[in-house]
Amino acid sequence: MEILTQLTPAETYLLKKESEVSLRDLLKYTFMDLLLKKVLKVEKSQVSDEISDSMIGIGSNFTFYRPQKHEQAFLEIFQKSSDLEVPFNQLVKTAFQYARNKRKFVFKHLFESPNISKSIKKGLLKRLFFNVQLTDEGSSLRSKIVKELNHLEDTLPTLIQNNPEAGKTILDKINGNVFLLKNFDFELLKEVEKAFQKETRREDGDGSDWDTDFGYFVFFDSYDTFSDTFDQDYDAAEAEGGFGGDGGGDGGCSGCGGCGGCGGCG
Amino acid sequence: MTPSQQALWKKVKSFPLDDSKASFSFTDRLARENSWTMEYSLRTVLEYKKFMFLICIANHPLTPSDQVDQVWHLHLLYTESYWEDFCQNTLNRTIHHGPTKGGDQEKEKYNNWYEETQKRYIETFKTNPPEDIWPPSSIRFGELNFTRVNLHRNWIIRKPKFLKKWKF
Repeated sequence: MEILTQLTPAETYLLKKESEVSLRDLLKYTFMDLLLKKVLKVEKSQVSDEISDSMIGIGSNFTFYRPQKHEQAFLEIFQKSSDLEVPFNQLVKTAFQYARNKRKFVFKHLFESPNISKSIKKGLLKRLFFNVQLTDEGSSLRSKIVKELNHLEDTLPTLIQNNPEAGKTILDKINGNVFLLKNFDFELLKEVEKAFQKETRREDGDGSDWDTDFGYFVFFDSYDTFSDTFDQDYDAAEAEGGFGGDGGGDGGCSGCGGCGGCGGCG
Repeated sequence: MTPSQQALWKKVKSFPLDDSKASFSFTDRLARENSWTMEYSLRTVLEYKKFMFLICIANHPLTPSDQVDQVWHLHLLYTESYWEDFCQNTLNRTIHHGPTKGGDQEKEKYNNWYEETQKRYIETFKTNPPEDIWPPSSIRFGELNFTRVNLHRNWIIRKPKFLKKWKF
């Protein structure tokens, strides 16, 4: 399980799938990984009696974390304004704008990661036609990844049931790579996927125009399970031996009289 | 910040400008109308909230940066959100927007207010205002030459650096 502890899920996913990766999944895994690592955190904000938003802000590990370039898609905004809390749907848009497209995200951001830079062949034509090819070193790394993933898929569900503590230790080590395991059917992941699918549709132009094609945020209306942090998910898993749980001045003066309380715009 | 100011700031900061049910939200519109990225728009909205909070706790008039002013202008268009939800129910006061009446005196007045605003910002939030949203006065009042352009009919070409000082 050595390799999976060293790679971000986007890196693992790229090495595993090569040219078949999708931008949506790369971003989705990256976001979930940052939540798990507590670089980002999610909080529920009650907008009205019926509506609540999932707000993303910096997590307890944000200050110490040294991000890879591809993780900046979600982190750059908080590096510039650390006191910001962003509705999740808006953060998804920010990430897609940062990435611009799959080719740019992979070749410009992901390839710069020291973890995988020697694993992938580079070249203008490869970039132009989005042809991700592994070097010998990359192929060897890929084999190890597949082996480790297969091993975890076979053993982890049972381990979590029989020895939750040991299961959690492994999950803590592999962080967001857990989302690459086939056995894990997180409710949270599904909901996030919905958001990314809709954003991808917009990016691909499969929809009408900018004004009317932002309906994907609506999914948050039913996103009750997102109120709990991943920590709680993991705690629930630990306690229950499974992953079935829901993740889920005054003073001064008013007006624009001569005493302040008004602004002008020059 | 005093405890009451902290409580007010918390309310202002969490004030939702974006309607979760809207398919084209406030921040989407802000980004589109100003050709800003979503990242920049979201950060500017936060700065707008900081500015409005400063107005509430200051005993003198304040002036926003042009970027923050654009957020304010747009918020004023959402009349219910601005006057009722924000001013009446969140700030508990009305805050009017007063554009310049023109002339040198006004220019100087707003220049002073802008610098005062930045000082007040640093005192209150214990950090410098981000320069890409709160530029120095020379840029704030020296580059006020905006116009609405129909991008369906026109191209915009960036002016070369050496021509930037000429206002044509």
